[in-house]
Amino acid sequence: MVTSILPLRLENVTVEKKGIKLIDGLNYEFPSKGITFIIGGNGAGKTTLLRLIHQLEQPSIGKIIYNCPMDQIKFHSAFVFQSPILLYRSVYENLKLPLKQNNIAIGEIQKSIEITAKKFKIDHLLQLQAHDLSGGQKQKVAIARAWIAKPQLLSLDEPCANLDAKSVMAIEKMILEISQHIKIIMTSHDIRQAKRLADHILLLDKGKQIAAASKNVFFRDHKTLLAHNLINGDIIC
Amino acid sequence: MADFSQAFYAALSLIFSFDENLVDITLRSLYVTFCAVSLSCFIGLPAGAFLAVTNFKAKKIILAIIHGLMGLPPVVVGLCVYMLLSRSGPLGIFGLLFTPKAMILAQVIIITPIITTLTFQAITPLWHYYQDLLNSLDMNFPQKMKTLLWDGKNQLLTAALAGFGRGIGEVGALMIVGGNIDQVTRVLTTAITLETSRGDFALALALGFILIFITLLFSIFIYVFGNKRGAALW
Ligand SMILES: Nc1ncnc2c1ncn2[C@@H]1O[C@H](COP(=O)(O)OP(=O)(O)OP(=O)(O)O)[C@@H](O)[C@H]1O
Ligand SMILES: [Mg+2]
Repeated sequence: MVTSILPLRLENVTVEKKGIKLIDGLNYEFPSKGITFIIGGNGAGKTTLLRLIHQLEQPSIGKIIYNCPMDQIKFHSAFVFQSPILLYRSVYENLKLPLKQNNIAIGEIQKSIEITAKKFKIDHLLQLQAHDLSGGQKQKVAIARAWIAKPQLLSLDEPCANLDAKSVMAIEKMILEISQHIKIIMTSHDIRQAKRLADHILLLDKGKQIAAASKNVFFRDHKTLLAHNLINGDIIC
Repeated sequence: MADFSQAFYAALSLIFSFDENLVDITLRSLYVTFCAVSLSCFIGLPAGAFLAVTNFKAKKIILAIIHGLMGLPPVVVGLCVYMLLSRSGPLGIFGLLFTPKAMILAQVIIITPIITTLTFQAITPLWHYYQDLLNSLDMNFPQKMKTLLWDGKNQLLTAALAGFGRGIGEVGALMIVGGNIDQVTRVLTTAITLETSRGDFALALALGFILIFITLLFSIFIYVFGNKRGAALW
């Protein structure tokens, strides 16, 4: 029986660097299913929060409580970074990385890569060098690589930044499909995207939680001024 | 001028007749430097990668020292190795002085700081870029090192080639610890020195041509690999 990493709870999580609070006393429980959006403007602390969840950083105060033992967190989760980090290898080799890391049998690896590449429509790119790809293609490879080891939790840090409308549509479709099976936490400063994809929304400003609610509730009663401005102004600046 | 052109033609004819002595010296040169570079890589690649990946207090000092060692005068290295290996020295019992092994040791001391520094310089940016990915995949330290060394392989090859170029052209240290003994420790550089002082310009020039040829070859390799990262070797 595999224990689930979720639900995931932040308890008074605070990150302070050089005397500045980048994350300020967050208390929030990430629901076990669906897509949770972390929205907020530049420097709101979205990336920092994701890094905390994936243990790339430690909170100065407070703690993050996972449902599974600590040493299984990285095994059960995957992180797609704001600017994709791809190995200087072929796309195939990039997809192979997490599988090898999880000690998947060699026979399984090839099959898994083929299935994943088809699913993400990157099968024609497998033999190319990852760094020769376009931005959108790189993003797709990064998401495919995060998905391939079947994590329980997948975090996407602004997966659609710098993409054209068509690529955004393709990636959003991909995210919706993945979210049927995997918990997704993604960041964005595009409120319209949240409207299209989110199940839950966590709104941050200067490291503080401004609002947190399911999508419908969030868009129905936007209590705070910022949430109000945000929704009416469409995009946070 | 006549002397010069005569020596020039004599040198070419020595090379193209595969003069036994010439071949012997060339092979020994390649052998000594190849062994030295291999050993230096064995030390310098992991050491450089380790320094790139870790953060500790004395790191800056260690880097400064290694950087300083790059500029070590080879003659002084030769002197130190000589004292180390001479019969009354601490390693005297092994009887290594005036053998190719002594020359390899001297070259390792000269080349290792170069390879370590170049490895450090190649792996540092790669680590900064890969860091979050490798950490999020929960890689342990050896796995990270392996990934970095593999993906930096073109630049590391460049580092090894640079070490080779440095080693093959080295003369002072090799002269001291090898003794330039015919058929035992005579290599391209020490032979050139000897033949020049003897006045045998034909042989000296022939040896020089070979040395230039080898160094040029390596410079070209360095140029080709130096600008590549990750892609297939050819
Ligand atoms: N190591 C650090 N030292 C000091 N300040 C930092 C450090 N890392 C991040 N910050 C600051 O923390 C704040 C939050 O950064 P973060 O990257 O989490 O923002 P973000 O919400 O992801 O923004 P963006 O939309 O621009 O990606 C920023 O003001 C940033 O300058
Ligand atoms: Mg960010």
